[in-house]
Amino acid sequence: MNINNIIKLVKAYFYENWRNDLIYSFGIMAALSLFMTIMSGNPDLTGIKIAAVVFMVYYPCRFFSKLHQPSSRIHFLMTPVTNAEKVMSGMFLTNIYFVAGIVLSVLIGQILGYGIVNMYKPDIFAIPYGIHNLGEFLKWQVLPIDGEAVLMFFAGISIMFFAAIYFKKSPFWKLLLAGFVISLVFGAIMAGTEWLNVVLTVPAEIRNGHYYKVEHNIATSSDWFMYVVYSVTIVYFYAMSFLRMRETEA
Amino acid sequence: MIQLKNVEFGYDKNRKLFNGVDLQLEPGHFYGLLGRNGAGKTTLLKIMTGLLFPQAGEALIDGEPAYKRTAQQLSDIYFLQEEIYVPHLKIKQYEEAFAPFYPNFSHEQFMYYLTEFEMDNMLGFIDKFSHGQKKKVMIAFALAANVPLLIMDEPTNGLDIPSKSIFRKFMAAYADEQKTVLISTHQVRDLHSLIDAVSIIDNGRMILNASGDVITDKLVFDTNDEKSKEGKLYYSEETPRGIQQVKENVNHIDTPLDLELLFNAAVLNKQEFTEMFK
Repeated sequence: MNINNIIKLVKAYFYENWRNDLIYSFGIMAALSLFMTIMSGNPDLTGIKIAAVVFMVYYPCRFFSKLHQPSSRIHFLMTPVTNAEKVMSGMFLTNIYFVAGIVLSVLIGQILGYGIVNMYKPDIFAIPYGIHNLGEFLKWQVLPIDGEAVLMFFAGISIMFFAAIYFKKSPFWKLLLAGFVISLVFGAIMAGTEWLNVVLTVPAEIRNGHYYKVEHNIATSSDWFMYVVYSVTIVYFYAMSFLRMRETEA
Repeated sequence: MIQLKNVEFGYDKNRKLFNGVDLQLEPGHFYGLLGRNGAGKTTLLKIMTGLLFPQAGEALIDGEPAYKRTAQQLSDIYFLQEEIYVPHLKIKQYEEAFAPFYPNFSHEQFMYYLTEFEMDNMLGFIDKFSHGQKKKVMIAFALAANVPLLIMDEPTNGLDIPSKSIFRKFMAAYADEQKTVLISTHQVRDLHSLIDAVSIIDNGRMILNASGDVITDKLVFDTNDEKSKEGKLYYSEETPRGIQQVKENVNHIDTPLDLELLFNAAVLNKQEFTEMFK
Protein backbone atom coordinates (compact mmCIF):
# COMPACT_ATOMS: atom_id res chain seq x y z
CA MET A 1 0.00 0.00 0.00
CA ASN A 2 1.54 3.27 -1.15
CA ILE A 3 0.24 6.35 0.68
CA ASN A 4 1.38 8.57 -2.22
CA ASN A 5 -0.93 6.73 -4.58
CA ILE A 6 -3.86 7.26 -2.20
CA ILE A 7 -3.03 10.97 -2.00
CA LYS A 8 -2.85 11.17 -5.81
CA LEU A 9 -6.29 9.53 -6.13
CA VAL A 10 -7.84 11.81 -3.52
CA LYS A 11 -6.26 14.81 -5.25
CA ALA A 12 -7.68 13.68 -8.60
CA TYR A 13 -11.09 13.34 -6.93
CA PHE A 14 -10.85 16.92 -5.60
CA TYR A 15 -9.86 18.23 -9.00
CA GLU A 16 -12.92 16.63 -10.54
CA ASN A 17 -15.50 17.20 -7.83
CA TRP A 18 -14.70 20.14 -5.58
CA ARG A 19 -17.13 22.44 -7.40
CA ASN A 20 -20.05 20.03 -7.11
CA ASP A 21 -19.23 19.20 -3.50
CA LEU A 22 -19.20 22.88 -2.65
CA ILE A 23 -22.50 23.44 -4.44
CA TYR A 24 -24.10 20.47 -2.61
CA SER A 25 -22.77 21.77 0.72
CA PHE A 26 -24.31 25.18 0.05
CA GLY A 27 -27.52 23.42 -0.98
CA ILE A 28 -27.65 21.52 2.32
CA MET A 29 -26.90 24.70 4.27
CA ALA A 30 -29.59 26.65 2.43
CA ALA A 31 -32.17 23.88 2.84
CA LEU A 32 -31.49 23.55 6.56
CA SER A 33 -31.47 27.26 7.25
CA LEU A 34 -34.79 27.51 5.38
CA PHE A 35 -36.14 24.54 7.36
CA MET A 36 -35.09 26.12 10.66
CA THR A 37 -36.63 29.44 9.60
CA ILE A 38 -39.93 27.80 8.73
CA MET A 39 -39.89 25.82 11.98
CA SER A 40 -39.11 29.05 13.88
CA GLY A 41 -36.09 27.43 15.46
CA ASN A 42 -38.02 24.38 16.63
CA PRO A 43 -35.46 21.99 18.07
CA ASP A 44 -37.12 18.83 16.73
CA LEU A 45 -34.46 17.73 14.25
CA THR A 46 -35.89 14.41 13.09
CA GLY A 47 -36.34 15.69 9.53
CA ILE A 48 -32.80 17.01 9.46
CA LYS A 49 -31.37 13.72 10.68
CA ILE A 50 -33.26 11.83 7.97
CA ALA A 51 -31.93 14.28 5.36
CA ALA A 52 -28.39 13.83 6.66
CA VAL A 53 -28.70 10.03 6.46
CA VAL A 54 -29.98 10.24 2.87
CA PHE A 55 -27.00 12.40 1.95
CA MET A 56 -24.68 9.94 3.64
CA VAL A 57 -26.16 7.19 1.51
CA TYR A 58 -25.62 9.35 -1.54
CA TYR A 59 -21.97 10.22 -0.94
CA PRO A 60 -20.46 6.72 -0.88
CA CYS A 61 -21.99 6.09 -4.29
CA ARG A 62 -20.63 9.45 -5.39
CA PHE A 63 -16.97 8.43 -5.08
CA PHE A 64 -17.63 5.26 -7.05
CA SER A 65 -19.93 6.91 -9.58
CA LYS A 66 -17.17 6.31 -12.16
CA LEU A 67 -17.89 2.60 -11.91
CA HIS A 68 -21.41 3.08 -13.25
CA GLN A 69 -20.58 3.94 -16.88
CA PRO A 70 -18.38 1.67 -19.06
CA SER A 71 -15.98 4.38 -20.29
CA SER A 72 -15.50 6.03 -16.90
CA ARG A 73 -15.20 2.59 -15.28
CA ILE A 74 -12.30 1.74 -17.59
CA HIS A 75 -10.70 5.11 -16.81
CA PHE A 76 -11.00 4.41 -13.08
CA LEU A 77 -9.89 0.78 -13.21
CA MET A 78 -6.88 1.65 -15.41
CA THR A 79 -5.69 4.39 -13.05
CA PRO A 80 -2.26 3.13 -12.03
CA VAL A 81 -2.83 2.36 -8.35
CA THR A 82 -3.70 -0.95 -6.72
CA ASN A 83 -7.27 -2.03 -5.99
CA ALA A 84 -6.54 -1.73 -2.27
CA GLU A 85 -5.39 1.87 -2.76
CA LYS A 86 -8.57 2.64 -4.68
CA VAL A 87 -10.68 1.26 -1.83
CA MET A 88 -8.59 3.07 0.80
CA SER A 89 -8.94 6.44 -0.92
CA GLY A 90 -12.70 5.83 -1.12
CA MET A 91 -12.77 4.99 2.59
CA PHE A 92 -10.94 8.21 3.42
CA LEU A 93 -13.33 10.29 1.34
CA THR A 94 -16.56 8.71 2.57
CA ASN A 95 -15.63 8.36 6.25
CA ILE A 96 -13.76 11.59 6.82
CA TYR A 97 -14.21 14.11 4.03
CA PHE A 98 -17.89 13.55 3.24
CA VAL A 99 -18.89 13.08 6.87
CA ALA A 100 -17.02 16.22 7.96
CA GLY A 101 -18.57 18.11 5.03
CA ILE A 102 -22.09 16.98 5.88
CA VAL A 103 -21.74 17.66 9.61
CA LEU A 104 -20.32 21.13 8.95
CA SER A 105 -23.02 21.91 6.38
CA VAL A 106 -25.77 20.75 8.74
CA LEU A 107 -24.42 22.76 11.68
CA ILE A 108 -23.78 25.93 9.64
CA GLY A 109 -27.20 25.58 7.99
CA GLN A 110 -28.90 25.35 11.38
CA ILE A 111 -26.93 28.24 12.84
CA LEU A 112 -27.91 30.35 9.83
CA GLY A 113 -31.53 29.30 10.31
CA TYR A 114 -31.48 30.33 13.98
CA GLY A 115 -29.84 33.60 12.95
CA ILE A 116 -32.61 34.35 10.46
CA VAL A 117 -35.28 33.50 13.05
CA ASN A 118 -33.50 35.76 15.53
CA MET A 119 -33.94 38.73 13.19
CA TYR A 120 -37.73 38.71 13.35
CA LYS A 121 -38.39 36.72 16.53
CA PRO A 122 -35.69 37.57 19.10
CA ASP A 123 -37.60 35.93 22.00
CA ILE A 124 -36.82 32.55 20.43
CA PHE A 125 -33.56 32.71 22.35
CA ALA A 126 -35.34 32.02 25.53
CA ILE A 127 -34.55 28.49 24.35
CA PRO A 128 -31.15 27.65 25.85
CA TYR A 129 -29.65 26.27 22.63
CA GLY A 130 -30.24 29.50 20.69
CA ILE A 131 -27.73 31.24 18.45
CA HIS A 132 -26.82 33.76 21.15
CA ASN A 133 -25.01 30.90 22.87
CA LEU A 134 -23.14 28.85 20.27
CA GLY A 135 -21.53 26.63 22.92
CA GLU A 136 -24.94 25.59 24.25
CA PHE A 137 -26.21 25.04 20.75
CA LEU A 138 -23.29 22.78 19.78
CA LYS A 139 -23.55 20.89 23.07
CA TRP A 140 -27.23 20.29 22.39
CA GLN A 141 -26.30 18.97 18.95
CA VAL A 142 -23.43 16.75 20.04
CA LEU A 143 -24.50 15.39 23.45
CA PRO A 144 -27.30 13.10 22.21
CA ILE A 145 -24.73 11.33 19.99
CA ASP A 146 -23.28 8.32 21.81
CA GLY A 147 -20.62 5.81 20.83
CA GLU A 148 -23.13 3.22 19.71
CA ALA A 149 -24.89 5.69 17.41
CA VAL A 150 -21.54 6.67 15.87
CA LEU A 151 -20.57 3.05 15.30
CA MET A 152 -23.98 2.28 13.82
CA PHE A 153 -23.59 5.23 11.48
CA PHE A 154 -20.14 4.11 10.28
CA ALA A 155 -21.40 0.54 9.92
CA GLY A 156 -24.17 1.93 7.70
CA ILE A 157 -21.59 3.79 5.62
CA SER A 158 -19.48 0.64 5.20
CA ILE A 159 -22.54 -1.23 3.86
CA MET A 160 -23.37 1.61 1.48
CA PHE A 161 -19.73 1.71 0.42
CA PHE A 162 -19.84 -1.94 -0.56
CA ALA A 163 -23.17 -1.50 -2.31
CA ALA A 164 -21.76 1.46 -4.28
CA ILE A 165 -19.04 -0.79 -5.69
CA TYR A 166 -21.37 -3.73 -6.16
CA PHE A 167 -24.27 -2.07 -7.98
CA LYS A 168 -23.54 -0.77 -11.43
CA LYS A 169 -26.96 0.53 -12.45
CA SER A 170 -29.14 2.99 -10.49
CA PRO A 171 -26.83 2.71 -7.50
CA PHE A 172 -28.53 5.49 -5.53
CA TRP A 173 -31.96 3.83 -5.43
CA LYS A 174 -30.47 0.42 -4.79
CA LEU A 175 -28.42 1.94 -1.98
CA LEU A 176 -31.56 3.42 -0.47
CA LEU A 177 -33.28 0.04 -0.72
CA ALA A 178 -30.22 -1.67 0.77
CA GLY A 179 -30.20 0.93 3.57
CA PHE A 180 -33.86 0.22 4.31
CA VAL A 181 -33.30 -3.55 4.47
CA ILE A 182 -30.18 -3.15 6.60
CA SER A 183 -31.96 -0.84 9.04
CA LEU A 184 -34.74 -3.43 9.36
CA VAL A 185 -32.15 -6.12 10.08
CA PHE A 186 -30.32 -3.92 12.60
CA GLY A 187 -33.62 -2.96 14.18
CA ALA A 188 -34.54 -6.63 14.56
CA ILE A 189 -31.12 -7.45 16.05
CA MET A 190 -31.36 -4.56 18.51
CA ALA A 191 -34.90 -5.42 19.52
CA GLY A 192 -33.94 -9.08 19.86
CA THR A 193 -30.89 -8.41 22.04
CA GLU A 194 -32.81 -5.95 24.18
CA TRP A 195 -35.55 -8.51 24.72
CA LEU A 196 -33.02 -11.27 25.47
CA ASN A 197 -31.17 -8.96 27.82
CA VAL A 198 -34.31 -8.17 29.75
CA VAL A 199 -35.54 -11.77 29.84
CA LEU A 200 -32.18 -13.22 30.85
CA THR A 201 -30.91 -10.63 33.28
CA VAL A 202 -33.95 -9.06 34.91
CA PRO A 203 -35.73 -11.16 37.52
CA ALA A 204 -39.31 -12.05 36.69
CA GLU A 205 -40.53 -10.08 39.69
CA ILE A 206 -39.13 -6.89 38.26
CA ARG A 207 -40.52 -7.64 34.79
CA ASN A 208 -43.91 -8.30 36.33
CA GLY A 209 -43.84 -5.01 38.19
CA HIS A 210 -43.49 -6.37 41.73
CA TYR A 211 -40.44 -4.21 42.33
CA TYR A 212 -40.34 -0.48 41.79
CA LYS A 213 -36.56 -0.08 41.70
CA VAL A 214 -34.80 -1.34 38.61
CA GLU A 215 -31.00 -1.18 38.30
CA HIS A 216 -29.95 1.21 35.55
CA ASN A 217 -27.08 -0.90 34.24
CA ILE A 218 -29.13 -3.93 33.20
CA ALA A 219 -28.69 -3.18 29.45
CA THR A 220 -24.89 -2.97 29.50
CA SER A 221 -24.27 -6.40 27.97
CA SER A 222 -26.52 -5.64 24.99
CA ASP A 223 -24.64 -2.36 24.46
CA TRP A 224 -21.36 -4.24 24.21
CA PHE A 225 -22.93 -6.82 21.96
CA MET A 226 -24.01 -4.05 19.57
CA TYR A 227 -20.52 -2.51 19.63
CA VAL A 228 -19.17 -5.87 18.49
CA VAL A 229 -21.89 -6.28 15.84
CA TYR A 230 -21.19 -2.85 14.37
CA SER A 231 -17.41 -3.27 14.46
CA VAL A 232 -17.59 -6.67 12.75
CA THR A 233 -19.99 -5.20 10.19
CA ILE A 234 -17.55 -2.38 9.38
CA VAL A 235 -14.57 -4.72 8.95
CA TYR A 236 -16.61 -7.26 6.99
CA PHE A 237 -18.04 -4.81 4.47
CA TYR A 238 -14.73 -3.03 3.83
CA ALA A 239 -13.07 -6.40 3.26
CA MET A 240 -15.92 -7.31 0.89
CA SER A 241 -15.49 -3.94 -0.86
CA PHE A 242 -11.83 -4.71 -1.49
CA LEU A 243 -12.63 -8.18 -2.86
CA ARG A 244 -15.40 -6.79 -5.03
CA MET A 245 -13.13 -4.05 -6.40
CA ARG A 246 -10.53 -6.68 -7.25
CA GLU A 247 -13.14 -8.63 -9.19
CA THR A 248 -14.71 -5.66 -10.94
CA GLU A 249 -14.48 -5.96 -14.72
CA ALA A 250 -14.94 -3.32 -17.41
CA MET B 1 5.40 -7.89 -22.69
CA ILE B 2 1.85 -9.15 -23.33
CA GLN B 3 1.02 -12.78 -23.73
CA LEU B 4 -2.30 -14.50 -24.28
CA LYS B 5 -2.22 -18.26 -23.83
CA ASN B 6 -5.15 -20.27 -25.08
CA VAL B 7 -7.62 -17.62 -23.92
CA GLU B 8 -11.31 -18.48 -23.88
CA PHE B 9 -13.94 -15.86 -23.22
CA GLY B 10 -17.62 -15.21 -23.84
CA TYR B 11 -20.18 -12.74 -22.53
CA ASP B 12 -22.71 -15.54 -22.76
CA LYS B 13 -21.81 -18.87 -21.13
CA ASN B 14 -23.12 -20.84 -24.09
CA ARG B 15 -21.51 -18.73 -26.82
CA LYS B 16 -17.78 -18.31 -26.75
CA LEU B 17 -16.36 -15.19 -28.36
CA PHE B 18 -12.79 -16.52 -28.14
CA ASN B 19 -11.94 -20.15 -28.23
CA GLY B 20 -8.24 -20.61 -27.59
CA VAL B 21 -6.64 -17.32 -28.61
CA ASP B 22 -2.84 -17.11 -28.48
CA LEU B 23 -0.96 -13.87 -28.94
CA GLN B 24 2.41 -12.44 -28.03
CA LEU B 25 3.32 -8.77 -28.26
CA GLU B 26 7.01 -7.88 -28.22
CA PRO B 27 8.63 -4.50 -27.50
CA GLY B 28 9.67 -2.36 -30.45
CA HIS B 29 6.70 -3.24 -32.66
CA PHE B 30 3.69 -1.35 -33.87
CA TYR B 31 0.86 -3.88 -33.98
CA GLY B 32 -2.37 -3.53 -35.87
CA LEU B 33 -5.25 -5.60 -34.51
CA LEU B 34 -7.75 -6.21 -37.27
CA GLY B 35 -11.10 -7.97 -37.27
CA ARG B 36 -14.66 -7.72 -38.52
CA ASN B 37 -17.36 -5.86 -36.60
CA GLY B 38 -18.19 -7.85 -33.48
CA ALA B 39 -15.11 -10.06 -33.80
CA GLY B 40 -14.12 -9.03 -30.30
CA LYS B 41 -11.20 -6.65 -30.88
CA THR B 42 -12.16 -4.34 -28.02
CA THR B 43 -12.89 -7.33 -25.78
CA LEU B 44 -9.45 -8.73 -26.55
CA LEU B 45 -7.85 -5.39 -25.62
CA LYS B 46 -9.76 -5.45 -22.33
CA ILE B 47 -8.56 -8.98 -21.59
CA MET B 48 -4.96 -7.96 -22.31
CA THR B 49 -5.21 -5.03 -19.91
CA GLY B 50 -6.88 -7.02 -17.12
CA LEU B 51 -10.20 -5.26 -17.50
CA LEU B 52 -11.91 -8.55 -18.36
CA PHE B 53 -10.93 -11.93 -16.99
CA PRO B 54 -10.53 -14.92 -19.32
CA GLN B 55 -12.75 -17.91 -18.56
CA ALA B 56 -9.88 -20.22 -19.45
CA GLY B 57 -6.25 -19.70 -20.40
CA GLU B 58 -4.04 -16.85 -19.28
CA ALA B 59 -3.49 -13.18 -20.05
CA LEU B 60 -0.06 -12.05 -18.83
CA ILE B 61 1.64 -8.67 -18.59
CA ASP B 62 5.40 -9.07 -18.11
CA GLY B 63 4.78 -12.62 -16.89
CA GLU B 64 2.21 -11.58 -14.24
CA PRO B 65 -1.53 -12.28 -14.64
CA ALA B 66 -3.21 -9.20 -16.11
CA TYR B 67 -6.26 -9.52 -13.81
CA LYS B 68 -4.12 -8.52 -10.82
CA ARG B 69 -3.97 -4.94 -12.17
CA THR B 70 -0.98 -4.05 -10.01
CA ALA B 71 0.12 -0.42 -9.86
CA GLN B 72 3.28 -1.35 -11.80
CA GLN B 73 1.32 -3.08 -14.57
CA LEU B 74 -1.11 -0.18 -14.87
CA SER B 75 1.58 2.51 -14.94
CA ASP B 76 3.22 0.61 -17.84
CA ILE B 77 0.03 0.69 -19.92
CA TYR B 78 -2.14 3.41 -21.35
CA PHE B 79 -5.43 2.26 -22.85
CA LEU B 80 -7.07 4.86 -25.05
CA GLN B 81 -10.67 3.79 -25.51
CA GLU B 82 -12.82 4.40 -28.55
CA GLU B 83 -15.56 5.92 -26.38
CA ILE B 84 -13.34 8.14 -24.33
CA TYR B 85 -14.21 9.34 -20.85
CA VAL B 86 -13.31 12.89 -20.00
CA PRO B 87 -14.10 14.40 -16.62
CA HIS B 88 -15.36 17.95 -16.10
CA LEU B 89 -11.88 19.48 -16.12
CA LYS B 90 -9.84 21.90 -18.18
CA ILE B 91 -6.81 20.57 -20.05
CA LYS B 92 -4.35 21.94 -17.49
CA GLN B 93 -6.39 20.55 -14.60
CA TYR B 94 -6.62 17.15 -16.27
CA GLU B 95 -2.85 17.08 -16.60
CA GLU B 96 -2.37 18.12 -12.95
CA ALA B 97 -4.83 15.48 -11.75
CA PHE B 98 -3.72 12.48 -13.80
CA ALA B 99 -0.14 13.03 -15.01
CA PRO B 100 1.32 12.18 -11.54
CA PHE B 101 0.17 8.59 -12.02
CA TYR B 102 2.60 8.15 -14.94
CA PRO B 103 6.26 8.43 -13.87
CA ASN B 104 7.54 9.18 -17.41
CA PHE B 105 4.91 11.78 -18.26
CA SER B 106 6.40 14.76 -20.09
CA HIS B 107 4.70 18.14 -19.81
CA GLU B 108 6.79 19.49 -22.73
CA GLN B 109 5.67 16.66 -24.99
CA PHE B 110 2.06 17.11 -23.91
CA MET B 111 2.20 20.80 -24.83
CA TYR B 112 3.92 19.97 -28.12
CA TYR B 113 1.23 17.46 -29.12
CA LEU B 114 -1.54 19.88 -28.11
CA THR B 115 0.09 22.69 -30.08
CA GLU B 116 0.39 20.52 -33.19
CA PHE B 117 -3.29 19.58 -32.83
CA GLU B 118 -4.09 23.29 -32.36
CA MET B 119 -5.56 22.51 -28.96
CA ASP B 120 -3.10 24.47 -26.82
CA ASN B 121 -5.33 27.56 -26.64
CA MET B 122 -8.52 25.71 -25.69
CA LEU B 123 -9.46 27.06 -22.26
CA GLY B 124 -12.86 25.45 -21.66
CA PHE B 125 -13.79 22.19 -20.01
CA ILE B 126 -12.77 19.10 -21.98
CA ASP B 127 -16.18 17.43 -21.64
CA LYS B 128 -17.70 20.38 -23.54
CA PHE B 129 -15.34 19.90 -26.52
CA SER B 130 -16.41 18.10 -29.71
CA HIS B 131 -15.69 14.37 -29.95
CA GLY B 132 -12.67 14.97 -32.20
CA GLN B 133 -11.25 17.62 -29.88
CA LYS B 134 -11.66 15.37 -26.85
CA LYS B 135 -9.85 12.65 -28.74
CA LYS B 136 -6.97 14.96 -29.59
CA VAL B 137 -6.49 15.88 -25.93
CA MET B 138 -6.56 12.23 -24.89
CA ILE B 139 -4.16 11.18 -27.67
CA ALA B 140 -1.77 13.95 -26.60
CA PHE B 141 -2.01 12.77 -22.98
CA ALA B 142 -1.55 9.11 -23.92
CA LEU B 143 1.57 9.85 -25.97
CA ALA B 144 3.04 12.19 -23.34
CA ALA B 145 2.61 9.46 -20.69
CA ASN B 146 5.50 7.62 -22.40
CA VAL B 147 4.34 4.20 -21.27
CA PRO B 148 6.03 1.02 -22.53
CA LEU B 149 2.70 -0.29 -23.88
CA LEU B 150 0.26 2.01 -25.60
CA ILE B 151 -3.06 0.46 -26.59
CA MET B 152 -5.45 2.42 -28.77
CA ASP B 153 -8.93 1.42 -29.83
CA GLU B 154 -9.93 3.12 -33.09
CA PRO B 155 -7.79 6.21 -32.39
CA THR B 156 -8.49 7.94 -35.70
CA ASN B 157 -12.29 7.74 -35.41
CA GLY B 158 -13.57 11.28 -35.12
CA LEU B 159 -10.34 12.95 -36.20
CA ASP B 160 -10.46 15.34 -39.16
CA ILE B 161 -8.22 14.75 -42.19
CA PRO B 162 -5.34 17.08 -41.17
CA SER B 163 -5.39 15.64 -37.65
CA LYS B 164 -5.07 12.11 -39.01
CA SER B 165 -1.81 12.99 -40.74
CA ILE B 166 -0.57 14.79 -37.60
CA PHE B 167 -1.47 11.66 -35.64
CA ARG B 168 0.55 9.50 -38.07
CA LYS B 169 3.50 11.86 -37.67
CA PHE B 170 3.31 11.57 -33.87
CA MET B 171 3.06 7.80 -33.97
CA ALA B 172 6.01 7.46 -36.34
CA ALA B 173 8.13 9.50 -33.92
CA TYR B 174 6.75 7.67 -30.88
CA ALA B 175 7.87 4.18 -31.83
CA ASP B 176 11.18 2.99 -30.44
CA GLU B 177 12.76 -0.28 -29.37
CA GLN B 178 11.41 -0.12 -25.83
CA LYS B 179 7.82 0.70 -26.65
CA THR B 180 5.00 -1.42 -27.96
CA VAL B 181 2.00 0.10 -29.68
CA LEU B 182 -1.16 -1.87 -30.35
CA ILE B 183 -3.87 -0.26 -32.41
CA SER B 184 -7.23 -1.83 -33.04
CA THR B 185 -8.80 -0.31 -36.10
CA HIS B 186 -11.04 -0.58 -39.13
CA GLN B 187 -9.36 2.44 -40.67
CA VAL B 188 -6.40 0.53 -42.05
CA ARG B 189 -5.64 3.21 -44.65
CA ASP B 190 -5.05 5.75 -41.85
CA LEU B 191 -2.35 3.67 -40.20
CA HIS B 192 -1.06 1.62 -43.08
CA SER B 193 2.38 3.23 -43.10
CA LEU B 194 2.92 2.73 -39.36
CA ILE B 195 1.94 -0.86 -38.69
CA ASP B 196 4.85 -3.31 -38.83
CA ALA B 197 3.10 -6.32 -37.32
CA VAL B 198 -0.43 -7.56 -37.82
CA SER B 199 -2.84 -9.59 -35.73
CA ILE B 200 -6.09 -10.70 -37.31
CA ILE B 201 -8.89 -12.19 -35.28
CA ASP B 202 -11.86 -13.96 -36.77
CA ASN B 203 -14.50 -16.38 -35.50
CA GLY B 204 -12.97 -16.51 -32.04
CA ARG B 205 -9.46 -17.40 -33.21
CA MET B 206 -6.27 -15.54 -33.99
CA ILE B 207 -5.73 -16.44 -37.61
CA LEU B 208 -2.60 -14.37 -38.11
CA ASN B 209 -0.05 -12.76 -35.81
CA ALA B 210 3.15 -11.89 -37.64
CA SER B 211 5.49 -9.06 -38.46
CA GLY B 212 5.22 -7.24 -41.78
CA ASP B 213 8.53 -8.75 -42.94
CA VAL B 214 7.34 -12.30 -42.36
CA ILE B 215 4.07 -11.57 -44.15
CA THR B 216 5.70 -10.01 -47.23
CA ASP B 217 8.20 -12.85 -47.26
CA LYS B 218 5.36 -15.30 -47.75
CA LEU B 219 2.84 -13.23 -49.71
CA VAL B 220 2.87 -10.89 -52.70
CA PHE B 221 0.53 -7.89 -52.90
CA ASP B 222 0.29 -6.48 -56.41
CA THR B 223 -1.99 -4.91 -59.00
CA ASN B 224 -2.08 -6.31 -62.55
CA ASP B 225 -4.28 -6.24 -65.59
CA GLU B 226 -4.96 -9.94 -65.30
CA LYS B 227 -5.02 -12.58 -62.61
CA SER B 228 -1.63 -14.06 -61.81
CA LYS B 229 -0.92 -17.69 -62.64
CA GLU B 230 2.26 -17.90 -60.60
CA GLY B 231 1.80 -19.15 -57.05
CA LYS B 232 -1.43 -19.74 -55.23
CA LEU B 233 -3.91 -16.89 -55.43
CA TYR B 234 -5.50 -16.16 -52.05
CA TYR B 235 -7.55 -13.11 -52.90
CA SER B 236 -8.28 -10.84 -55.86
CA GLU B 237 -10.38 -7.76 -56.31
CA GLU B 238 -11.19 -5.81 -59.46
CA THR B 239 -10.59 -2.08 -59.17
CA PRO B 240 -10.42 0.77 -61.75
CA ARG B 241 -6.62 0.51 -61.52
CA GLY B 242 -6.58 -3.21 -62.31
CA ILE B 243 -6.84 -6.46 -60.39
CA GLN B 244 -5.45 -6.25 -56.88
CA GLN B 245 -4.34 -9.61 -55.60
CA VAL B 246 -2.68 -11.48 -52.80
CA LYS B 247 -0.72 -14.56 -53.81
CA GLU B 248 1.96 -16.90 -52.65
CA ASN B 249 5.44 -15.38 -52.86
CA VAL B 250 7.07 -18.09 -54.97
CA ASN B 251 9.74 -15.82 -56.52
CA HIS B 252 10.67 -14.14 -53.20
CA ILE B 253 9.96 -10.67 -54.46
CA ASP B 254 9.47 -7.81 -52.00
CA THR B 255 6.15 -5.96 -52.25
CA PRO B 256 4.65 -3.44 -49.84
CA LEU B 257 2.15 -4.84 -47.36
CA ASP B 258 -1.46 -3.93 -48.10
CA LEU B 259 -3.46 -4.38 -44.90
CA GLU B 260 -6.88 -4.34 -46.52
CA LEU B 261 -5.97 -7.02 -49.05
CA LEU B 262 -4.21 -9.04 -46.35
CA PHE B 263 -7.29 -8.93 -44.13
CA ASN B 264 -9.62 -10.04 -46.95
CA ALA B 265 -7.25 -12.83 -47.91
CA ALA B 266 -6.87 -13.98 -44.32
CA VAL B 267 -10.59 -14.23 -43.56
CA LEU B 268 -11.15 -16.12 -46.84
CA ASN B 269 -8.34 -18.60 -46.14
CA LYS B 270 -8.44 -18.97 -42.35
CA GLN B 271 -7.06 -22.47 -42.09
CA GLU B 272 -4.22 -21.92 -44.52
CA PHE B 273 -3.21 -18.60 -42.99
CA THR B 274 -3.28 -20.06 -39.48
CA GLU B 275 -0.94 -22.83 -40.62
CA MET B 276 1.24 -20.51 -42.71
CA PHE B 277 1.90 -18.03 -39.87
CA LYS B 278 2.02 -20.46 -36.97
